[in-house]
Amino acid sequence: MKNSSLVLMMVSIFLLAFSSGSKLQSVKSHIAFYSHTPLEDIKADNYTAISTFDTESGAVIFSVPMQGFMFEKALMQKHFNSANFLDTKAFPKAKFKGNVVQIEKVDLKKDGVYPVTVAGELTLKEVTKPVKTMGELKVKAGQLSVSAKFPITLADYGIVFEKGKPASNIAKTVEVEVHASYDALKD
Amino acid sequence: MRKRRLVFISLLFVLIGAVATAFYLFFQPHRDIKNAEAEYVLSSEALVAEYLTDKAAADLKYLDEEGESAIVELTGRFLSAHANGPSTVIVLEGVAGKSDVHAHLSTGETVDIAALEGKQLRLKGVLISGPEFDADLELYTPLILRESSIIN
Repeated sequence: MKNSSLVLMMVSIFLLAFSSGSKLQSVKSHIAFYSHTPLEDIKADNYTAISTFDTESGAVIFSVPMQGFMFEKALMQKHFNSANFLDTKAFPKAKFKGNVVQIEKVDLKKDGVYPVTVAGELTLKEVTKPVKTMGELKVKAGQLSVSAKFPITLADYGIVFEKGKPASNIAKTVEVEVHASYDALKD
Repeated sequence: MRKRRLVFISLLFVLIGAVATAFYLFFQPHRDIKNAEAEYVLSSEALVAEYLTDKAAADLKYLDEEGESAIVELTGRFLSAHANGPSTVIVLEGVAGKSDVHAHLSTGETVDIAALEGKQLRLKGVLISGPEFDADLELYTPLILRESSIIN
């Protein structure tokens, strides 16, 4: 019994060491969303997302604390967090799980800006929908950063306003911009 | 004639009141976190441990439905600091080997990082995200505060 526990522990340590070898972490991120209607332009910024990027498989993950979004107007921020909109008390985080398509064609050892396709799934309020967009990988002095931009149709995630405010002030489709800088790349 | 004038003036007051209320609601200021009193005062380790024990209960206790979540005052050991966007992030020790506290300082809040090395810090901010083990990220996420300021 003792031997099997020891073997299990060693295998776990080996797997952890092996799997985290190519995985970079980011706590320096910026996620912004823009909404445009004839009545009002709204922008919110969030600098609190955590992300990982696997340089071998191209897997990229973002965990986004929803109450990290800051708006210029306090009322808009309250609407955004409320049960009618993102319900951030019940659903405190959004998540993106995806992959950089054909990561093996990108030489991350060489400085440069590489246009890539990112495909994955975005989960908001426990509703998961596919997302595919063009993005950019940037390598500069051993530092990797990713950027991407994509639209989100709010109704796809069950966020629907029938009438009145804030329905008239928020676009049905909002533009999301993502940026993250990762730990230094390993040789 | 006099009665009609009275009704007109009353309606005018109601209208002015309604417009003023709508105007205030639309342009109401954000909470002044720096000058507000903390609702909870505890150590960074105790708060992280509370979350790691029961995240659902902690979310219920600290998060607010409209995003005006609890203002917490934490004391903990300074670990590191980094710049992120328009502000500096101070990392306080939480539960060793698991989660720490990432306190995003308010924009414009300046700090002498070299002077913080090895110190016990007391800071205040809005709790927006509790720590947990995230199986997709394969790591413990930090406890995150925004609009933070260092007390001493």
